[in-house]
Amino acid sequence: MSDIGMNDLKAGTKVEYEGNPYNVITNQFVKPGKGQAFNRVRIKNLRNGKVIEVTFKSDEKIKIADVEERSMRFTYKDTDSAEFMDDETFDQVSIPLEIIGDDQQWLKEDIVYEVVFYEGNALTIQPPTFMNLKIVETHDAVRGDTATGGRITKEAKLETGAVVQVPIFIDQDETVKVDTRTGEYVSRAN
Amino acid sequence: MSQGLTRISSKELVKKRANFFQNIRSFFSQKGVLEVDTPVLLSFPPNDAHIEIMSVDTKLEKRYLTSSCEYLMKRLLATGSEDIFQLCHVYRDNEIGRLHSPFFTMLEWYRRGFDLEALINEVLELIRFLGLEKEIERGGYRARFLKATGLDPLTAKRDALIQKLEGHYHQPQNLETDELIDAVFVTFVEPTFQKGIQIIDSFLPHQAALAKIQGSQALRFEIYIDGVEVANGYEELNDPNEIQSRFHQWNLKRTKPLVVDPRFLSSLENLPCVSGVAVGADRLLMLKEKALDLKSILLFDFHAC
Repeated sequence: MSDIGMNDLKAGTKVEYEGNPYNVITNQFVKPGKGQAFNRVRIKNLRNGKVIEVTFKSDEKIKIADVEERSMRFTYKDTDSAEFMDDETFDQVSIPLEIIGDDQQWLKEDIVYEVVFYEGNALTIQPPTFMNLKIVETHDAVRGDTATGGRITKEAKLETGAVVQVPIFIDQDETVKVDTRTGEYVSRAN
Repeated sequence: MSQGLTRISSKELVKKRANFFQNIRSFFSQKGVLEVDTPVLLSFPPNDAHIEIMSVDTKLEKRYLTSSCEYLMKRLLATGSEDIFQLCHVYRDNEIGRLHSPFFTMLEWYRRGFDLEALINEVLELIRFLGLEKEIERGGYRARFLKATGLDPLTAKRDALIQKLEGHYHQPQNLETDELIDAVFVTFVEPTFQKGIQIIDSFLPHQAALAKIQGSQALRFEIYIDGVEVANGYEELNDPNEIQSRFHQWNLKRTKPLVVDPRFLSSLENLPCVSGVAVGADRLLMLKEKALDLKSILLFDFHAC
């Protein structure tokens, strides 16, 4: 991959820094009076989401990271990997479960995920923001259920394995709409 | 992004800029400082260690766009001119950002017989006159650097500066010592200038640019308003030999040395004792209007014209 000048870095540019792929959040040109020009960039590690701020001399160059995002359909889960398929090319990709990490709790067959690849290897998968998922396990309302935001909720296990707080009037086998960013119940799914 | 920043329509902006420039002109007219307008196309490039110069191919000969009007203004002073000021368009390559534009309007003025102190007071008077009154804090470069970092920029070892930058700077070991000082400054010292009017004086000798050096201090000051650098002033160096040797030093860092206008060098023999200051006029207007960035107070920014 080619190099890019510091002044050409924009929010969203994918760069390589100390062996890791990063997404540029902000790039600020700073220059003390009569002094050396610098660029102060905030970048987000695409592997672990950690944000760092690093300063470079303005005439330096940084490597563009070979990062690609593809929409892929989840087909099935194996012992230690999950299988995805590209709807357009029919390419099949096997992604180790340890890379998927916590997002395993949102894996549902036949759903399309955004998969980020770095140098050809999957880096992260992003589930749809909202998913309709069936409750496979919950109990009837009892004393001691948690009160959140003025309403009483109870724990419910979803078909994908995620455990969320739902209102007490929701029953087992019902399908609910969940925000995968926060793991919060949104509404009954219609 | 700070709260309460204003959006200005272009119709309003025309009025605001006109009014702003008129105020500046009336300030200097009251003081008997004469307005000059020196050309922006020069036959020799200005030599400034960290400024990239733009060039223009004319059918007559290659010319350079001025990055500061100081050379020609000093030549006027050397011919015996009275005190002068100028609102000049200046050009600097590869500088673009929230507070930078490849072209901007610079306000520059020179006062014969003024020392640095008298000039600082006049800059503060102008700032008040333009309606930007704020609390004032003052301190030397070295003292402020020491306070913010625990390191004395004059004596600190390279290793200590490099260690300070670990985790904040990409490969600090590759920087020259004066670049290390600049990098520590922008990372740890400049962020302490966020509020009010900050005056920084007594710069380090290597930061003197074209200011006189007295002992281990450059007779130079800078003023920041709400974290934005707005003024850079000197008790002007008028020793031709010393100036030649500084130009030579800066050229050592360039891949291609710049030839300095010999007419400028010979005029220095007759340059009286003056203090001069350059003020980013656009930045002052930006602060006055609480605008988000430089772009929003330019009639046309770099990408719009």
